[in-house]
Amino acid sequence: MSAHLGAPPSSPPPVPALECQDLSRSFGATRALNGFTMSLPPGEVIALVGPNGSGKTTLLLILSGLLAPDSGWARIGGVDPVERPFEVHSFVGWMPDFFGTYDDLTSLEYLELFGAAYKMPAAQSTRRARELLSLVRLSDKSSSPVHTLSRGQKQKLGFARTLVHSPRILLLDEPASGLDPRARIELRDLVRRQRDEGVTVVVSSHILTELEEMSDHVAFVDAGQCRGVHPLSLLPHGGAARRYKIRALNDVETPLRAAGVVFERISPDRVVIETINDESAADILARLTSQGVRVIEMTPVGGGLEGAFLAMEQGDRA
Amino acid sequence: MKALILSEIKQRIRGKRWWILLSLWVVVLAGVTFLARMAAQAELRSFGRFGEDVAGIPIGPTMFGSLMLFTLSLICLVVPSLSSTSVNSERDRGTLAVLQATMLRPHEIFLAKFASAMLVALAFLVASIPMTLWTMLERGVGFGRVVMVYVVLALVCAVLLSVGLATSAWLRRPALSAVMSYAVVFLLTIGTLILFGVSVITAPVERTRVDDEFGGYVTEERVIGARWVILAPNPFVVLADAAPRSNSRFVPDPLEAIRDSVRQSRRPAGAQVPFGPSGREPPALWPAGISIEVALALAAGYFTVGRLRIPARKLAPGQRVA
Repeated sequence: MSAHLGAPPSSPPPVPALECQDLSRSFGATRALNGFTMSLPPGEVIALVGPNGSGKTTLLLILSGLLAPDSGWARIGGVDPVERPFEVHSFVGWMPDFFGTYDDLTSLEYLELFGAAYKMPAAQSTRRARELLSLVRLSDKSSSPVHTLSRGQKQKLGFARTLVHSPRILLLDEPASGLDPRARIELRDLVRRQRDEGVTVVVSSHILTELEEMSDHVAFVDAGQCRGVHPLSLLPHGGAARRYKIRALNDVETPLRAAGVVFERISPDRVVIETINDESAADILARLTSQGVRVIEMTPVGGGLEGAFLAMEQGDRA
Repeated sequence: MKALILSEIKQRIRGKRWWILLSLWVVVLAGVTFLARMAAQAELRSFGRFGEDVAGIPIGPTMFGSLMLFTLSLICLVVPSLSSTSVNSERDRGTLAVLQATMLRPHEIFLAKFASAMLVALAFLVASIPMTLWTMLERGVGFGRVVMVYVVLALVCAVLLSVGLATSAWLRRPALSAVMSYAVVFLLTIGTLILFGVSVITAPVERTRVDDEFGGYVTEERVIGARWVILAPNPFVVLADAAPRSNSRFVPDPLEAIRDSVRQSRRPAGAQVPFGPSGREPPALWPAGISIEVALALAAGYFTVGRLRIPARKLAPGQRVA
């Protein structure tokens, strides 16, 4: 399955920020990646969407130069993370889905430590640490031990850590998981700010509405493969399936079957249909009413991204 | 790297545990020194009752030897714990991968962990210095002797730390790697002793017929050969063997006693005479012992760095990168 890039037709195709070709990686009997091929444009926020265990974390580990694939290759910012991991680290910031902190250090010391780990002079790393603490609004916590921070604050500190060396590519693995709505909004704004400064951000999440609000592109990942990269703006009309729930007072299944519409039966009076776009949905509704079906409700299921995500899973089962 | 060492040390000594352990350490060592002093004085008094002139006999060697052997025992107990969960507990807590994702090279992570643990271990050694000064005040303990013994103690610390790091980089579970590092300590201390003993009793016996005016007799001697090498890496053997002789009279010097007995293993065949201050000593074991220990430490370090290398290829079952 080939991934395609939905760049606007007017501009020339950009040099990809990320490229993967046939990446495979197994852990014991589990195949985490199975011929993963993808190419992503620079300077945008790209959402990695896929069910748990689809290979998103493994992909990000390979891209950050921490894990070697069994086969295939990758380039990030034009550099091979397997061959030259430390060069990759110089311009990539990686935030794992699960990470710990050195609890006995203060927030400032924690960020200073990573400044030093990126070989910054002490004065510079202190300056950068203060700058970042104010960016993520943790300045008042700079001398508190990390273990006194709340989960959301720790997550923000972790995000600040990935920015220590001003990377031009960010790999964020489930950055919003376990955060309350307010912390999520803050994180979303931080990600957008990075994008506005020209940073390429790859973010994986299962909170789809969240991704929808900050992403420019979406890459679908399933069973260790990339199932396509789409500009988010084109999603609802761009060929991805759209789902509608239909409720009627009389039999709706027979006419649907006659019309050859793919649908799923929820209860005797309720079905979920799948259409290509909004227009065909309107056509189906017109057809049903003309055939005497008394439709009392027809609502889209999920957002554009959620619909597309479910469609991908659906397509997988079919 | 300096920052990493500092932050590791900060984390180690910000807990209360460290200060409790350090105070306990000082109290125990002071107690041992005091008991050794009492024992030596009692020994001198008993000689005095038999009419020996014991006035002015220094009891420093008894105190110093006991103190140092006890310090080494405590090192074997405490030091492995400073490093034996260092790598895998960081993996468990999810703090290692984010370090590996920086510009830090694997050997820098290893060296930072090693150096910070070593500085803590050295702090324990430094805490024993007041007791050592006390033994020197009791006379009979030369400065060169003290320096030599401390160098060996520091070296043993380094070896145990390096081995501890290797077990923590090798095994996924901290509890398991801690046990494994103590198993290595056991092997080096009691294990070498048992192995040496077994190898000696299974050594071939050489019988020589000696003719004399009564018709002759047969002498029997075990051919130990190179079996002393098994004993050489034992830290207690290295410590005692490397310490220069104190030639103390009337009061026992534990280090000298061990040195004299382990050197029996290198006695040339046929030389039956026990040796003393005047006699010719068999060659030392400690140069070989130290070489084996240093080789062990280097191998452990090399292994650890390999385990920290990225990108990771093979992972232990159940091991997470992050």
